[in-house]
Amino acid sequence: MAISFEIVFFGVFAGIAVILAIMMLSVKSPVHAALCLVGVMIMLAILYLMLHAYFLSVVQIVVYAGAVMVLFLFVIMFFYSPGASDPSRMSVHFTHIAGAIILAVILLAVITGSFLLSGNVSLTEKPSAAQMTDIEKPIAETSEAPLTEETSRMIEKQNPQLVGRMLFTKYLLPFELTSLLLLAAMVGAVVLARRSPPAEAGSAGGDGND
Amino acid sequence: MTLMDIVWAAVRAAAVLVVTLGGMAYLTLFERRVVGFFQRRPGPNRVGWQGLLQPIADAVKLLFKQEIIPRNADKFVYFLAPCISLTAAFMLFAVIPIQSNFAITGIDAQTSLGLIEDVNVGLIYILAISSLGTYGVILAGWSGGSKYSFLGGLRSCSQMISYELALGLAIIPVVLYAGTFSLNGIVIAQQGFFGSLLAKPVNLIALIPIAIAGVTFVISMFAETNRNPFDLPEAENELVAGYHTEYSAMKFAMFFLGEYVSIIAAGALAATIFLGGWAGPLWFGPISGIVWFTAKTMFFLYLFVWVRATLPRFRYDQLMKFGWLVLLPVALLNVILMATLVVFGIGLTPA
Amino acid sequence: MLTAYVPILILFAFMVAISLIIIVLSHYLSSRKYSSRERFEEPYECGLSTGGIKPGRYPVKFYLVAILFVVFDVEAVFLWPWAISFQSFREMGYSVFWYAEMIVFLGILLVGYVYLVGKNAFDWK
Repeated sequence: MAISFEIVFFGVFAGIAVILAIMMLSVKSPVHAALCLVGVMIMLAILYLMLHAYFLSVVQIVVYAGAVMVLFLFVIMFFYSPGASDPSRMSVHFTHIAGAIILAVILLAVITGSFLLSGNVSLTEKPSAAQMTDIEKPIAETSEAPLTEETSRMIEKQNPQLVGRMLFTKYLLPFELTSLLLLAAMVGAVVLARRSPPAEAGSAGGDGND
Repeated sequence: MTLMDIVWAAVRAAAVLVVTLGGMAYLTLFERRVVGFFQRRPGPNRVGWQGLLQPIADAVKLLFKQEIIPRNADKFVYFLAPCISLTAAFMLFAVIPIQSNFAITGIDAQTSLGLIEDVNVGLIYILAISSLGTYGVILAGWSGGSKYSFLGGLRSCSQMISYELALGLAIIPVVLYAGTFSLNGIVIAQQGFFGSLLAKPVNLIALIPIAIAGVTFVISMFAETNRNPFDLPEAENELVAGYHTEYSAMKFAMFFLGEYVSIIAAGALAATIFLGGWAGPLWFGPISGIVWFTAKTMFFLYLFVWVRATLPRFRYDQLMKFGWLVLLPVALLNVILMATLVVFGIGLTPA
Repeated sequence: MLTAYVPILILFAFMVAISLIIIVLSHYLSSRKYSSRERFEEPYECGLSTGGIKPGRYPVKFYLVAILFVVFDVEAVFLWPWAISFQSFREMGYSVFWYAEMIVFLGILLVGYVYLVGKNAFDWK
């Protein structure tokens, strides 16, 4: 009962995601395409939710749907008035479909190949206790093989805490490096957008060009 | 999950919708009467006793208004935008706890009677949904095909995203205190402050950063809901009516609905996160949770109207400066202050 | 736990239905007395005729605000799991470590913030 329920939902949301992705490539108006991408992001969030990654799912919406896509839309809207379509957007052609199928086959081959080559080791075998830090141990213990109802409930309830614990111990270095990345982004934004502050006669009051 | 559960969930969702719609309708009347009181005039008082039928008259009027669709509008987006505004506003209510289950059934104090029992990412869900609400505004501004609405949409969207940052940071001291993102968990953790079921020892120093966070949160919520003094998108004298200039009849009403519903949601959220939600100092039977929750929410709604009647509007550059140069650093330093307190063991209830 | 999210889906379905009902109802009930259809459907302007939105040049500040929003939003996203994992760090006796790593992170970002303020990035003029 529980499994079939999840499979049905997965099918529906994954299907919507694929349809929206195809629409994103095929619709004429760039704003519509951006909206389809927002839809794909939300569907991905729902798929994360169904994988019991609750925290990741809402963060997906906050960052991708709520921030990155708003930036995209801002830029697109500056350049296309309603009703305008992008002449450079291609119509779907036979060669495109063929290319897409070939790429999909290669992707599938790479994924299955990597599974076969690794012999599923990484999925089943746990790192030995000596390799773990103190902080990882409790997580490893809770994820020991047969999951009881109780431990799985605990893991689900503690999902954001577990994400935090892993992020700030095992993945500490990538996390700290992210701050440098963000710093670079800030500097980049200012350098691009504020090349010459005084020379802005055309936009008095910051309200457009009319 | 049985069929009964789904039916029960649908009933609760319908109840949340009906109550919120009714609340929204009477919030408009409440606002007009209170602003009238501030300005020494009666406000609408002719339709029904004390104007109580006024919201219904307004709704009927808007329903029969002429529908104008601009010629160079992007039709699909033009219809989609008000739907997004309305839906995003209502979806906020999904995770707000209204009443403790303990009071009704006597068991399971950890769950609450809201739309859903308890979600371990409730606070982040709120931020996610309110960030999606931005789309309603920016798409509405663009799709009408008018420069006034486009500029209104751009302004409004920039304002909303700027203040969203302070909103995201303002919740952190509370999370540090309560140790959970679940809204019901936060209410339970705060019971020491505002009295009730399980009294906990309180450290008053912890209240300082939480109070600062509360003020930051409420200010950001004013900006998020485009309320005075942050109602730049609707600065009538500059931009006609802002992002919904090109909308008429019920589609205009949907933005109006969305705005007022998100005001109620903002009040309910501030009450839940910072004032202890359904917990109250006095416990009088099963309905006391709902009574306390409503009273605290009403306080914030009154605050919204009060501020509207009192303060003038910001200028746009002042608004952006205030968001980025005052609110954001204050919220960030406040996070550090709270973290410093909890690291030294001050202000944290024994786990 | 997953079933806890089903009511949200139901609420969403309700909202879609309500939005559709409102739009369809208002379409069929709305008054049809167009006095001058041509003029009504133009973009709003006080008596002039306008070309609507002209694509092209808009103030770059909107773009700057959006990009800085993405940066600070990602920062906030890191603060959330950090805040919530405090209890478990404290239980293991690592609370100072927990504090220090975020101070380092925020310190690096503070450099960026000071740079932005110095460059007048938030000056809307």
